[in-house]
Amino acid sequence: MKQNPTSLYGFINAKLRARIGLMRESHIIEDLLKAKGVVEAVAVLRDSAHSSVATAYDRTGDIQQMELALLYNEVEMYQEVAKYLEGKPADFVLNLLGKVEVDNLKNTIRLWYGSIIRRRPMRFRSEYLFKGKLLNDIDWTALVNAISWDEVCKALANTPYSEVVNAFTEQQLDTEGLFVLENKLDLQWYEQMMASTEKLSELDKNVAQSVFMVDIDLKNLLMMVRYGWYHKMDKAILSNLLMPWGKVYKNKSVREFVNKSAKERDPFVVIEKLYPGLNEAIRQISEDKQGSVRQDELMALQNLRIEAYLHERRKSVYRKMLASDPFTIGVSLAYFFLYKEEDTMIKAILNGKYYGYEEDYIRGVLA
Amino acid sequence: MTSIAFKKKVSMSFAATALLLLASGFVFAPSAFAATTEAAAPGSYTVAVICFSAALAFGIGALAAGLAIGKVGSAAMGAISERPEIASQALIFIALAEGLVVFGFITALMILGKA
Repeated sequence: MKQNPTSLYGFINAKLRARIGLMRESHIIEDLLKAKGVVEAVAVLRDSAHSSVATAYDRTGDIQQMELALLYNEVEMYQEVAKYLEGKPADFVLNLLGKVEVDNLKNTIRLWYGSIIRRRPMRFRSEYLFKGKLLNDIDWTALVNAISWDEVCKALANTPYSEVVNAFTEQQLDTEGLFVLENKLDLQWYEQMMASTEKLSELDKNVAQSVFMVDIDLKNLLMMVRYGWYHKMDKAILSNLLMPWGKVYKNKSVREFVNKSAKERDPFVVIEKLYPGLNEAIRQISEDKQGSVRQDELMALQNLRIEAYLHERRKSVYRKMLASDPFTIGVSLAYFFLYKEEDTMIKAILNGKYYGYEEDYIRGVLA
Repeated sequence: MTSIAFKKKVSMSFAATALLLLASGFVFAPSAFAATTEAAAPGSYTVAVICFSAALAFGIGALAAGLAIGKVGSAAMGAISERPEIASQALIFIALAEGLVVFGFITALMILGKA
């Protein structure tokens, strides 16, 4: 039965809007920045909604355990919102949790790869992985303890990731690395999400897709610049890496860029057509820093500029959502975005404090 | 109890209240009318229509108020659970929805007064 959006979203959206209001009023980021060190920063967290993070530090004295506690909070956040929704919107929110699962799976495979293929002593890092149930029944312990790629595939046998991992061999991973595999896992998640948005009501579908398109455009643009231009990746690999949605992918000049030989590619022509403002900013960086920094550093700065620009665009999409129809999935999506943004900032500040960086330096990184 | 079950229970309580009010409109309006207009010819067609109209005005008002409070109330509870300090502001919106039944009641009285 089709549910009335007012009944479906009334309760949860009011709850989330109240939380967003609290987030905006909170001084937690400012207080964390002003903290003299990790211990003081932990004291700030102890009196906030992130008290479990402080408890993790009290228990272990380990900064990475704090990051794990933040991850647990994030998972709880998705599960709580899904609990208050019903039907397709609840499924959609749970599918968003799939991204956490994919990232955790990628981290686990990286750990396996590092210890088994590269023979680095890094098994101990498995304690920083999420080992609970997210979306699918994955035996994380079997994955962590796998000693061959076949065992990894076996541990993922009854999950949606089985097909992707089975397409790779240990030898292939040894020579090519994990990059293509990780990209395939991301692509699979995006496919699931796009299919999930199709099942939502027309209004929700438009809201959700507008968010995903901005995300996909960001990924495609970065892929084009980073791998197509800087790493000069082959046409066949590059075209498989791009996500088949969004305005970047559909643009004719992007197809031309991919089809050109690696040496002839110029991403600025494409960016000029898609985002003229961004192109100007990137060129400015090149002019200012040329000669004073290494080529790879310049490239990293340009990448950061692209990420910052698209992050701003994403932010404006969420701001628009909060100002429009209050009875859509948009409020939940905006809340997830703001929550993750706060999470990322907390992680960055805690790491900054841990490594003894000055307040101004951390502020500069956050900006 | 899951939140969905809780929401359903709250909605059902509001719906039951609204139905009770609607039923009371039908039950009490004719007797109230009879008490105030003893001179009117009993069993006349006009009296029946007036009573029915008054009951309808009150009953629909009550039903609408029940539905509105159900929705506004659930959103208010959601917001108050996160920020208890906004309880008084949230109650204003619930009172606005409550006003619907008052309008229905006044309209019913006015209709009865026409007889």
